[in-house]
Amino acid sequence: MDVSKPLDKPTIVPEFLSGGGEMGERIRQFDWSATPLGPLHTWPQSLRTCMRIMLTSRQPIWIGWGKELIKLYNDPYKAIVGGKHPWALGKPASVVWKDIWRDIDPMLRQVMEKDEGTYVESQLLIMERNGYPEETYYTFSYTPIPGDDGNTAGMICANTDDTDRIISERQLKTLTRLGKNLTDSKSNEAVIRTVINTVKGNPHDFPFACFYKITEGSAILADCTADLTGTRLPQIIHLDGDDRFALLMKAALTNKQPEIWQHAGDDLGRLPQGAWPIPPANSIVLPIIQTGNKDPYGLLLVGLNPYRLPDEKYRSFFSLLADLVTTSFGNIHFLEEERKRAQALAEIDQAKTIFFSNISHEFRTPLTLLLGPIEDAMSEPGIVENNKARLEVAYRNALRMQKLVNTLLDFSRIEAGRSEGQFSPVDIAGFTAELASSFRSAIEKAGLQLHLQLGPVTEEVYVDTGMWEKIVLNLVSNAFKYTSHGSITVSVQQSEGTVRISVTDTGIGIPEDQQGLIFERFHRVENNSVRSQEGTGIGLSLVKELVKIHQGSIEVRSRPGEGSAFTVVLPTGKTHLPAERITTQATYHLPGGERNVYVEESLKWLPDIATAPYLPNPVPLGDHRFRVLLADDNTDMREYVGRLLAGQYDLAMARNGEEAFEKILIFKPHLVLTDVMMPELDGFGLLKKIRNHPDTKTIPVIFLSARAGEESKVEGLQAGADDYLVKPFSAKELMARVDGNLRINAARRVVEQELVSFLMQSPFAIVILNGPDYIIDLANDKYLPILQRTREEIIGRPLFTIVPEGIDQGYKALYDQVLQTGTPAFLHEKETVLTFNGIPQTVFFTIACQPLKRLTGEVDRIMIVVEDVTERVLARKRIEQHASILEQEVNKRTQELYNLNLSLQQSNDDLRQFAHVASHDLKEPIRKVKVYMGRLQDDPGSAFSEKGLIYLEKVNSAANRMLSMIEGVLHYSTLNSTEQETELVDIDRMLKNVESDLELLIQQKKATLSYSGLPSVEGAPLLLYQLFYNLINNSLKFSKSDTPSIIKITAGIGTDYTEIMVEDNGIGFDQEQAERIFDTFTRLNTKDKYEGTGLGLSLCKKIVERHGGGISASGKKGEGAVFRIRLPLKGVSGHKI
Amino acid sequence: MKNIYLIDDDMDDIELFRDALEEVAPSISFQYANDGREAVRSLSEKQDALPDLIFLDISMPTLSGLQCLASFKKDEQLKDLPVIIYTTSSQEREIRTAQELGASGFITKPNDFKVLKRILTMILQTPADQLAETLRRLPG
Repeated sequence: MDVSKPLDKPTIVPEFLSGGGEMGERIRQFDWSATPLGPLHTWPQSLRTCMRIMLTSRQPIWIGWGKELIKLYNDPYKAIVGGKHPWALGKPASVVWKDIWRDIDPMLRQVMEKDEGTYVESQLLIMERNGYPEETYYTFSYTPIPGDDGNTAGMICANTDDTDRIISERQLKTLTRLGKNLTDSKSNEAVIRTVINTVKGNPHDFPFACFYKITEGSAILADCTADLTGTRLPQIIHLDGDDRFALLMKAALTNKQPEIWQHAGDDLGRLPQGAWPIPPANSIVLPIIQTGNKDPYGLLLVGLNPYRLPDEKYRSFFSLLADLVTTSFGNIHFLEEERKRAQALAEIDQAKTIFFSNISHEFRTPLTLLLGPIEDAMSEPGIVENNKARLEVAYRNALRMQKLVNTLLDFSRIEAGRSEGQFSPVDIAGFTAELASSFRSAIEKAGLQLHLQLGPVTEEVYVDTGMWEKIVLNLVSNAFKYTSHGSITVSVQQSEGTVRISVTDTGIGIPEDQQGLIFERFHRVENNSVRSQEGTGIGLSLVKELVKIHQGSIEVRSRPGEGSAFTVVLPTGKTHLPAERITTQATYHLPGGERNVYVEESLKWLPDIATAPYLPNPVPLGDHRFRVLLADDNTDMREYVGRLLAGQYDLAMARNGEEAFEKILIFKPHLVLTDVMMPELDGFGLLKKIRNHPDTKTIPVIFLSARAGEESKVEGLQAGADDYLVKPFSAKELMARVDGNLRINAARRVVEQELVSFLMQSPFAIVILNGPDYIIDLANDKYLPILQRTREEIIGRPLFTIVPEGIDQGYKALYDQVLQTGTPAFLHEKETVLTFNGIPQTVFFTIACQPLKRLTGEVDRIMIVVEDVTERVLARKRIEQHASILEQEVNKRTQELYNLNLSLQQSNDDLRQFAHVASHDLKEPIRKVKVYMGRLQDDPGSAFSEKGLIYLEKVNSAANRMLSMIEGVLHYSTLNSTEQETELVDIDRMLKNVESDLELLIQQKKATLSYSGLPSVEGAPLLLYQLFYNLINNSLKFSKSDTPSIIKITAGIGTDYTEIMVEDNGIGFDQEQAERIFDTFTRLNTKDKYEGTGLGLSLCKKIVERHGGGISASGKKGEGAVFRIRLPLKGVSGHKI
Repeated sequence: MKNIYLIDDDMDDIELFRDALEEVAPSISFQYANDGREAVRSLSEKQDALPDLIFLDISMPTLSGLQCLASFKKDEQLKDLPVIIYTTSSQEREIRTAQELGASGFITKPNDFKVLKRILTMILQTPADQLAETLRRLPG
C-alpha cells in the first residue's frame, strides 16, 4: 500500500531527515500521525539520531520503533524488502515479515524486553522478497534503541545479504570435490558412482539426483542419491516412447542442452526432498555427451532446489557440472583404449617368444639327423674331393643353423624370464683363459696372435658357467670374425670391487654411430671387409642379456681401422646376486659340444684350409658284444641310431616306453637308450619301471632329449638316469657315451665284489642290515662273537629277532634314524645288556653306523662297524674312581702354575726387550770410545807421554770391562728369557767343546782337565754348554798363580738323576760364603785381581734350576772348590724349558 | 769401483768410515747421507753418478734402514746396487730381514779402526758377485 499524503502545511525539512535518497523523501512525506510514532516533531531524540544514521548509511538498515516495531528503512534496504517496497514503510514489522516472523520474533523480543543486542551470521531465511519463497542468507544484528525515558523504545537492524556468497561457496565446493574425486575414477561405473556420492553431499542444491545410462535406445537408471521407492520415477525409459520422460530426455540429447522439467501437473509420487521441507518443484535433465561421439553416456536427472528459481546462475552451475562429468567419461574412454593397446602389444611379444622357442625346439631333432650323417659321410674313406667339399659346406651350414637355434633358444629363454642363472665361484682368470684358448689354433692358423693378460684376482667371482662360456666364446669369435691381421687380446683385471674382462682386437673396428646399436638384436654392422657375412647378429645382444643377468655391464670402445675392445665389468663377491641361485661349490662346465660349435664355425671362416671336423677319437671296445635297447618314437631316429650302434652292439628297438620295458625283460640289455618324449610311457616312466624291478634295476639308462638346459639334465639325473644326451648330438658323442656307460657299469660290478671281499676280511666287526626290518645281508667273522652266533644262524634274518633286547636300548631308534635321514651316526661306549642263554651280560660297544645308498640315491641298507670296548671301559672306570680326587688337586696346582707362568712370561719378555735396547744403547758409546782409543794409540803422529799412554790404556781396559759387562747382562737376560728346546746331550762330547773353546786360557793357566764316563742328559744344549763353560772358566780364573790348575769332573748316576762334580785346586773360598757365591753380581774378590762380571756363577744356578736340578758349592779357603750339580736324566725329548 | 755411499745418522761413524776409506783407497769417492729418506731421494734423482756400493746402517731413527732398503729395491734404477748392512749390534732379526729384502750381506761396526780398514780392503778387492760370500766369511 502506498500511502503518500501531501503535508498540511509546508514545513522546513528537519535536519535528521535530510538526504537519504528515495527513502528519505518517502519518510519525509509520510503521514506519521496515523501511526503510533506520531508526527515527526514528536519523535524522541534517540529515534531521530538513529534515523540520521540510517539515512546516511550505505548498509541496508531498518528501524523498528515502538511496541509494534513500526518499520522504517533506507534505500539500500529496498533490495531486502524486495517486492514489499514501498508499502512496508510504516507498517509493523510483524506484518511486513509475516513469512519469517517465526524466525525473527524471538530475537526481537530478546532485544525489546531484555535490552540485549543480537547478532546472527548467514542465517537461512526463506524469504519472499521477490514474490516467491526464496532461500536467502542474512547476517544481521538487532540493537536496542533507548527512548527518552531510558527504556528500550525501538531497535535498529543492520543487514548484510550473504545469499549469493553462501550459495556460490556451496556450489563451488561441490564442483571442486567432484573434480577431485573424478580423477580417481577409473571406469564408467566408478564415474557414475562418484558423481552420485558427491552430489549427495549437497542436498541443498541437489534434493535428489539420478544417473541414467543410455544403452541401445533406452535410459536405464544406474544410480541415485536416494531411495526412489515411493516415487514414480521410472527405472527404464525407452527413448523412442512418447511419455514425458522420454520426450524430455530425447530433447536434452538432441539439443545437447539441459532441459528444465516443471513438475506441475505430473504425478511423480513422493519425490525426495533433500535438505528442504518441500519436494522439488522442478528438475533439470543434463545430457552427458562426448563430443564427436555417437552414443551419449547418459543423463543426469536432478531435482531442483524449490527455493530457487532455475535462473541463469543456477543453470550455469549445472552446465559446469555436466562438463566435468562428460570430461571424466572421456578420460575413462581414453584410458581404456590405452590399456587395450598395451595388452595387444604384450600379446604380440609373447607370441613372438613362443614362436622362437617352438621353432628352436622343433629344429633340434632334424638337426641331429642332419649333422650326424654328414659327419659320417665326410669321414668315409675314399670320398671324392668334390663331394667332400660340398659336404663341408653342408656341414658348416648345419653347424651354423645349430648355433642360431641355440642362440635363439637362449635368447627366448632369457626373454621369458626362464633363464636365471646358477652362480658358483670360479677362477675367473683361469676359466676365461681356458675358454679363449679353445680358439687358439683357429686364431693362429689365421696368422693372428692370441694374447692372454691375466691379472691377479683376489676377490671371489661368481658366474653361471654355462652363460659365461657363451659370453666369452661369443666375444672372442666376434673379434676373430672382424680381425684379419694383428692380434686378439683377452685380459682379466681386478679393480675396486669389480673384475674387468676385455676382448681387444686389432680388427676393422666399429663406426662411432653404430657403437650404440651393436647390442641390439639382429643388428649387423655393415661392412665388407669382414671375414664372413655369416653370423646371426644376435650374439652381442645375447651377451648383453647374459651379462645383465650377472648384474654386470658391457661397454665397447672402438676406432674404425684400429680395432675394438669389448669390456665386461662384473661385480665381485656375491651380495649382488640372488641368494637362492648361488651354489658354493665351484662347478666346472665341461668342455662340450657348445665350444666345438663356436670353434668349428670360426675354423670354417678360414679360407683354403682343409680342416677335419673337430671330433673326439673313436673308442675301442674290447671283446664283449654288449646288448643295447633303444626306445624312441621317431622312426628316423631309430634308424639313425640303429645304424650307428649296430656295428658294435646287439640291438633291440622299441617305439615307446611300454614296449621298451616288455622287451627289456626278455632282451636283458646291458644299457638302455631312451627318448624322453614318447607316447604310452615316456622316458621318465620307463626309467621308473626299470628301477623298480629287481631284475632290471641296475641297468644303466641314458636319456636322449631335445630339451637342453641345466634343469632338464638335473631332473633326468635325479630321476635316476645315468647320463643325458642333448639332441642334436654327434655320432661320436653317442658312441662315446654308450661305451663309457657300459664300461662304468661293468667296473662297478667288479668294485662291488671287491668291496664285499674287503668287508669280510676286515679286522673290525661289520654287519650290513637291509631295509627297515634290518635283515642281515652280510656279517663278517669278527661280528659273529658280538652276537655269539654262527653265520648260518643269522644271515637273512632280521637283527632284532636275534637280539630283541636291542630294541628298547635305543638301537632300533638309531638305525631307523640313519635309514631315514641318510646321515651316519656314532655311539661311543654304549652300555648294552645282552642276554645269552638267559644270562644278561653288560657290555660296551662303540658303533659306527653308515647309510648305504643305491645308485638311485635312496638309502636302503646300513652298514655297522662294531667294536667291543667292554674291557677298556671297565678298566678305566676303576682307575677313574681312584683318580678323581687326585685330579682335583692336580687341577688346582696346574692352574696356579699356569698363572705363575704367565706372569713370568711377561716379565721375561719385558726383561728381554729392555736388555736388548739397553745393551745396544750402552754398547754404542763404548764402541766409539774403543775405536778412538785405538786410533789414538796407533796414530804415529800423536805425541803422548808415558803417562799419557798409560791413561789411554786404562781408558781402554775400562771400556773393555764395560763392554763385557754389558754383553754379560745381555747374554744373561737373553738366556734367561728365551725358551730352549731340550734334547739328549752327551756331556762328554760337550766338555770337549768347552775345553777347546777355553784352549787359550787353559794353556795360560797350564791347566789340565780330566773327565770321563759322564752321562747323557736331557737338556738344552746351549744352556748346558754355558753352564760348564762358566764353571770351568771360573775354576781357571780362580786358580792359584803358582800351581797349575787341575780340574776334575766326575759324575755319579742315580735312577732319575745324575750328580756331576767339578773339582778344582784353586784359591777356594770360605764356606760361609758358599751361599752367596751364586748370587748375581757377587764378587768374593776385589775387582782388579780377578776379572769377572760376577754373573757367571749365578747364571749357572739359573741354568741348573731351569733343568729341574740344583747346584751347590763347597770349598776351603786356599784349598780349592767343589761344585756339585744335580740334573735330571730324562725329560721328554723336544720339551721346552 | 769408483764411488761408495754410506747412509748413517752418526757423524762420528761417517768420519771414521771416510778416514778408513781414505787410507785404504784414496781414489774412491765417498758420499753420505744422514737420513734414510734423504738418501732415497737424492739417489733416485742421480741420473749418472750412481754409487757402486752402498753401506746402510739399520738403526737410524727417521727412515729405518730396512725401510730404506726396501725403497731401494723397489726403485728401478737402484734395485741392482749392492747394499751392505752396516750395523752396531747383532740384531739378528733385522739382519735376517735385510737379507730377505736383498742386502748383499752385513758387517758389524768394528771396535777397532784397524779392523775397519782391513774389512774395507777385503770388500773393495772382491768382485761384486762374490760379495756375499766374502761378507759371510768375515769375522762376525
